[in-house]
Amino acid sequence: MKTTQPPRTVHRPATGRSPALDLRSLQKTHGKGRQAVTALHGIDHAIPSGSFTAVMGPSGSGKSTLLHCAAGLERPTSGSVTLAGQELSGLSERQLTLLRRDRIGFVFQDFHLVPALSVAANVALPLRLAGRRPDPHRLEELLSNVGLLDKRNRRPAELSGGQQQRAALARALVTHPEVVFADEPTGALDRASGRDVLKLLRDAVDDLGTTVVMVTHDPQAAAWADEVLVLADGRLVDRLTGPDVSAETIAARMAALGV
Amino acid sequence: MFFLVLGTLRTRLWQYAGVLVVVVMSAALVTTLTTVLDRVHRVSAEGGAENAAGSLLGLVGGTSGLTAWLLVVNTMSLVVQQRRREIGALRTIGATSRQLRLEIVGEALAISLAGAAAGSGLGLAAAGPALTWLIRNGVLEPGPTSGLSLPGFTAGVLCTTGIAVLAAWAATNGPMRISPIAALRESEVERRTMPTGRAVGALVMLGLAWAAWDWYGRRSGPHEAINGTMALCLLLILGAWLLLPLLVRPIAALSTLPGRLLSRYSGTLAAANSAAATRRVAAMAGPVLIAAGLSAILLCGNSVSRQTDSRPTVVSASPQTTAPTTAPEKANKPTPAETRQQQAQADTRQERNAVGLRILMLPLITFSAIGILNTLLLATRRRRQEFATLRLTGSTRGQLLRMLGWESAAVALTGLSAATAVVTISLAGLASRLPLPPPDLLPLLPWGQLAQVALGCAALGLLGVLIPGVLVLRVHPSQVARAE
Repeated sequence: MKTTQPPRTVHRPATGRSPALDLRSLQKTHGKGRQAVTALHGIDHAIPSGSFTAVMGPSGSGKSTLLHCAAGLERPTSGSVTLAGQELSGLSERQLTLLRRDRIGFVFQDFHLVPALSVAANVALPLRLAGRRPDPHRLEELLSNVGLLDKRNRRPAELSGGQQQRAALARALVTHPEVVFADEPTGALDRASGRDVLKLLRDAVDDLGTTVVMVTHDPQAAAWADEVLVLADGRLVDRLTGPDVSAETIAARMAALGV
Repeated sequence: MFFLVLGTLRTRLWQYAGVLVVVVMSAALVTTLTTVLDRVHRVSAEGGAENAAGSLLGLVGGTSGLTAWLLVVNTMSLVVQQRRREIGALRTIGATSRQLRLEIVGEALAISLAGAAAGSGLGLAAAGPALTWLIRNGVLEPGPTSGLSLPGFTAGVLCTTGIAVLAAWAATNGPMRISPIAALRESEVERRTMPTGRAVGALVMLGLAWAAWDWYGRRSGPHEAINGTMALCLLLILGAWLLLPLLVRPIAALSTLPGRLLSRYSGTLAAANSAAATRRVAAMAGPVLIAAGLSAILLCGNSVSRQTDSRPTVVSASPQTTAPTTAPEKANKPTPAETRQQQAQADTRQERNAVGLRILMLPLITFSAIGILNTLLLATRRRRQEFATLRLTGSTRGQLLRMLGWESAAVALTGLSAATAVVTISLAGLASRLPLPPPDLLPLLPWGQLAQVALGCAALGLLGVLIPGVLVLRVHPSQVARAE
């Protein structure tokens, strides 16, 4: 997917704020014995609250594993993950589930909306799962922000890919999460739809103060972030901030890695 | 979770169509049986007739209930597998395993309550004609009259709902333990052929089979030997059903060998598909095993009991496995008049056995046919995207249908092989306990009927794969790919 270059003025400095996500000596090994593969080799990094971070790297570099460990979907082999002041390693599976429900939002490449539910019901789902009644005004506002108010009663199969992804983004934001994790959110979209989704993610950071961590292969998409982390072979090999966060620079760095 | 249950049921009712049909039929059957028993109970002063009716109808209800439970578990497992990615997404955004389990059990409860109410209504309506038929055929003594029965209706609704809820609970046991990320990876290859719970369940069933066989072994007489064989076979079928994933790979390799030799592309693909999806093939072969195994052992049991009944000096008791009898269990040096009387009684018993067998076989065969077709239809339909990919990469419809044909051969052969093994073990056990050496037992078996059962199951298996396959392949592959 190719998106147009985002406006440079929206970038904020990615330092000087309390970390929303703190990764310390994060290591993850899949499998055991001879079949063991180390996906992450001791990652140390803090992501400030209210920032937009893109994670890039070649296939197999550990991007998705980093995202899964940071979101409490996978347990690291060693090291620690602290999300909004909460250390994840000591939490049970149920506590992790509740943490994801209340404090984390997810956006996937394949949208993963529930096909049986309408757009509005899909967006309200995390609140319903928590036993809370969604505020109709809040729901309306959210659907309006993502441009789906007139499609609130449609089912996912009746929407385009871009519309489905915007519905998924509204679902991710409905609980006012501290961190939104997005795994290739524009990977299955055309240029215009991808740009809409990236703008909404950017707005969530700028207007709502949400922290966004996005895995992407696309330098154009990564250019919407405040900070770009580059992974290779499970190691953090580069970090771009400020004026370096442009599609050209990112593409050049990735090319240097042989991607 | 009520809104999620309602939303899912509204849009995916077709997934539950098979469960609904089995539930309606089970409820109708249980209600009919309980109503008949209730009516017999009302006129029976001493309980002899009631016991006789209870013995037969209990066996019909038990066998059919077990079959219904296995079929609903099988269908629910496929429904849960089909929603694997949705379950993964819901767990990722914060649904707990308990919430998701309640959702699926709630769906099963809603479907089964609707189906059970309708089925029990049908059962009440059918109880009168059933009672008349049973009396006319001499299975029940004259006396009971038809009429409504509250216990019958209640038993129908409660038993069937219970069966469906327990089946849904059992089917959701494994999938909820998978991590959300693993569930999201649709294409993830099955890593473990046998989950620990399934292996433990199989061992428990084999242990129970041994215990039941041992228990019946301490009692003498052909009646107990046949009863023991039935119990052994039922438990072995359950054990084999759980062990099926282990059998799939070697049997699939064998059964697709002709395919690999005759049509290299489709045969090789069928072999690879069957070997890579052992649990799916096991789920498809399960109803074949149940149908073939139960039908075969009932036919063999009936045939052996008929033959042993016609030898009054050898057999002293009528087997109650396939039909009740009130005949005295004595055979002390009969006079010619007594011999004629015994012969007449034996003839009556044979007639009743035949009626009893028909009562047993009808629901069993119907359930099994529905189970086989429904399971295969669900399993084949969910592979639409795989078929679309193969079509887009150049496979012709004919090649894919041939591939499905070889795959259905693997499914039918897996189910039939397991059924053959179970029935052979059970009959070997029976031969060891009857005063008949195994060579004498073999001619007593109804080979023609057994061949019909095997052919029927194989034909249902083939149709169950090919019909949905033809329907899916009629759609243009690009449309299928977009729809997913």
